[in-house]
Amino acid sequence: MDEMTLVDWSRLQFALTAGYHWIFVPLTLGLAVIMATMETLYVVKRDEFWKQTAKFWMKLFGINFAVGIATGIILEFEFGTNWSNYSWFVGDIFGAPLAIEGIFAFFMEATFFAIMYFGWNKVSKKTHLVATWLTGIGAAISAVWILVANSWMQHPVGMEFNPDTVRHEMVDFWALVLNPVAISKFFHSVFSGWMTGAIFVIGLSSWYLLKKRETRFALASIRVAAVVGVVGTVALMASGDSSGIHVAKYQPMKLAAAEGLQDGGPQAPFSIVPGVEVPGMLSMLATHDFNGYVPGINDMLNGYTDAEGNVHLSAEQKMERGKTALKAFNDYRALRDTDPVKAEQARKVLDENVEYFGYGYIDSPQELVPNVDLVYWAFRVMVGLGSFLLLLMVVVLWAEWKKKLEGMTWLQWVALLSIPLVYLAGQAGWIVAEVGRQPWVIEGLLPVKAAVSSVSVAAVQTTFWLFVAIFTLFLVIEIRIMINAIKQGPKISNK
Amino acid sequence: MSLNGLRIWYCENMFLFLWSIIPTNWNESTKSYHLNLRNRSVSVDLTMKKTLKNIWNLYYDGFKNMTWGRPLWLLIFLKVIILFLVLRMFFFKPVLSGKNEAEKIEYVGEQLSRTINNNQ
Repeated sequence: MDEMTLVDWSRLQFALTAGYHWIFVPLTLGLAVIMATMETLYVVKRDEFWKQTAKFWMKLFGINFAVGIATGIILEFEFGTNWSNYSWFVGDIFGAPLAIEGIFAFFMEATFFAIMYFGWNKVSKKTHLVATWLTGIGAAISAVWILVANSWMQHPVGMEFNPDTVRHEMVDFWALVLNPVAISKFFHSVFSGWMTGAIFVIGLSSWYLLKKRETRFALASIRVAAVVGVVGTVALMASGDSSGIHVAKYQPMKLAAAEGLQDGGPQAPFSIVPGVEVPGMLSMLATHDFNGYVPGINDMLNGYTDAEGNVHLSAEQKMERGKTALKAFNDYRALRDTDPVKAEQARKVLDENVEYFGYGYIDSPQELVPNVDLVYWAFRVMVGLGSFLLLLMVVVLWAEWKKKLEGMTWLQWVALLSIPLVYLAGQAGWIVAEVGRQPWVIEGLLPVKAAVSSVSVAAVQTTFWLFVAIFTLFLVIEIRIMINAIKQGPKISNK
Repeated sequence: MSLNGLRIWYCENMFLFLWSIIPTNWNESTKSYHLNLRNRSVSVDLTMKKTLKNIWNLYYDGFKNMTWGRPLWLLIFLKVIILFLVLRMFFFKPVLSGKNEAEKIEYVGEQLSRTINNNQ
């Protein structure tokens, strides 16, 4: 029971840190594109107004970046302290992308940030513009490596387990980088950033409209942000579709949990809310075929045969093979120095069953089912809010196109109040991704309870509450600095 | 490029950057500075020297004339202190630190086996 409590606290702490980090990342990704587009307009139109507009959003970008910077490092502390078994077990597969991210991020940020903020009167307009775009591209490249590492945990590829070193060793770097889960996750995350940036800019600009100040600036900002936001959200939906196909293929339990699908089959229905279903739609979304086979939770626990005739083992069978793998792993370690022949036999058994290694730690089939209610509702919050925000951006763009937005106070209020909703949608998305893959820290290979370090629960609880205090303090400071900057405004003439 | 290759590349470039600021062996015929870096001859000509000076000035003037960025830098500084000098030193000691490679393998192997035994 103590061990479970330790796992729960360690997971909660990681979720808190990752969730806090994700407050800042999407705004960085989205605002970068919006301010770079504004600066492009300045260079193309040679209109000082666009320079001042871009500079204001760069200021908010800088505040967000300053508070968000290094919050991701805490996750790395947690890997070493709370998840040491996992950190060793994954080896360089996880370390290499994070190291590349650190080095690239440092170089790109140190170089292009400096030019973007300090270089207005020191480099040419075009050089400055390139630096601004590269700041955004650099942030996206940083995301690539983080998401490559995360996607490997969701769909481990390009590695082999070495029982001598008790870790996975990379055998194919490109399989790791071009992991289909990583590709769809990258685009889905980056475009969710575009949506966040757009709603943030539209919401704050609406506040200026409500206050009847900086009108030209606000309307121009809304135009740019809404276009970026609509394009980004349509791409977000496309990448979400691709992500759904991959989840159905590589993590069917996550999909079943997100749909609350107990018993699957062909023509599986999509649940809008409990009791309201669209027949065949889940099959369509998961396989691009209305008759596609989608397994339910019970199918996966009891074993099933899919439409192509592939037989999928039951949970009990997987657990049996996992225990065989773990016993072979233990035997190999015990015998390798004393009886090489028996050790080699154990190694062969391990290799034959290694894909079920993690199932050896599972005590009952029910452990393989994530928290269905949480994943189900998080998915609906993500999709529901995403759809609402797309509609909002389209309406705002239409109203601005028809020159009616300035008089539509209700729409300005809706836009302003939508700022927290975009953050909620982003956090809900990560809940679907991370809670949905439980109990695995590495899909099929290592459950959270085997990945956690033997540290005291009290130590994890202490740092958890410490983080709550520190994160709250920094968030309050950020919001205060940002509110001051917003109240001050861009101070641009309306002419 | 391997992880180690990346580390060498990073160190070389940082070294080149820092070294280039300081005048080294001036070669009159090629009008350039020369230095030896991991058995590779690297020349830094006058244009490069000027560029590096411009880069220095960009950062120097930027920090000197900063207005709204000052409290943000203070915030970053505070955060780094809290992260590395308080949290990292007192609360987040990596479990495997202080162990050599063989000890780490043994420790994690034991941990994973112990979890199996607890399960069975």
